Amino acid sequence: MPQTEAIAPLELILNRTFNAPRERVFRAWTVASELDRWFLPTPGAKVKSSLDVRVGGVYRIELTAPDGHVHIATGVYREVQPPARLVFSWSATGSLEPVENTQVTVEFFETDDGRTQVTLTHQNFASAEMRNRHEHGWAACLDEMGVFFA
Amino acid sequence: MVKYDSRLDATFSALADATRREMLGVLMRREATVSELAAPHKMSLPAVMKHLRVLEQAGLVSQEKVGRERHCRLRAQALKPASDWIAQYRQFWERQFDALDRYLAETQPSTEEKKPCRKPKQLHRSN
Repeated sequence: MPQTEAIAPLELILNRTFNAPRERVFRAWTVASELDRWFLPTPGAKVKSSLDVRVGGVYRIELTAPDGHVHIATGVYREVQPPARLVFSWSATGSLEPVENTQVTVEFFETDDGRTQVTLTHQNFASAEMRNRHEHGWAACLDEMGVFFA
Repeated sequence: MVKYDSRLDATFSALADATRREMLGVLMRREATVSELAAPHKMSLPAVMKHLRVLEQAGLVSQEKVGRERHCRLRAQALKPASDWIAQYRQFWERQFDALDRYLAETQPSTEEKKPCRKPKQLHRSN
């Protein structure tokens, strides 16, 4: 069904070029011991991830903020194409921007000078599942997000 | 921090439907009557009215009766909280990118960048 993209904010797209070969950048996203060293690096926070990187495999990233709050991002890998493409669902609980079943696509492109351009697309913010989040309401959770967005 | 109100849920719910997004797309360009909005959707008028009601309750559309017709208008400012919310996610990922950048720099043996010649690509292997 055609969608009116002009109406976005339904997705966001980010581009960044990293000073490293593609395989290496892909590894940083897909090896837990590596991801733990850079993902959600709030000063003083601890990150513990488990990544079952295969189609249908589950990942779970647990962040313990300095104040002891635990935030969890979890989902299922939908596409795994090393070292080019990674698609996974993204749900976040705790006070880490609560969303359910959004989708993240990370694409890794080799640039001419041997660097890696990463394109990240986060979409489905307005998926039907989002309607079921009334019990907590977003507003209350959002106030706590300052730890990440301060 | 951006201020959020309870309308955020309503906004996202309203946006979570392709028909309603298309209606908003039309209204972004111009005002339209209910029947104009209904035309491309092969939907009954009551069904269209129902979608409009959702949009109206989310504050995204206002209706005004002009003679025998109802004119619908986009209230674009009502999209701002949702747009701001997603902007925060953008910020989240930008921070992750910053962190990844630092991580890669710290853990990679420093090599000469900006090599004049291209690296051979391994994508296509010619036979």
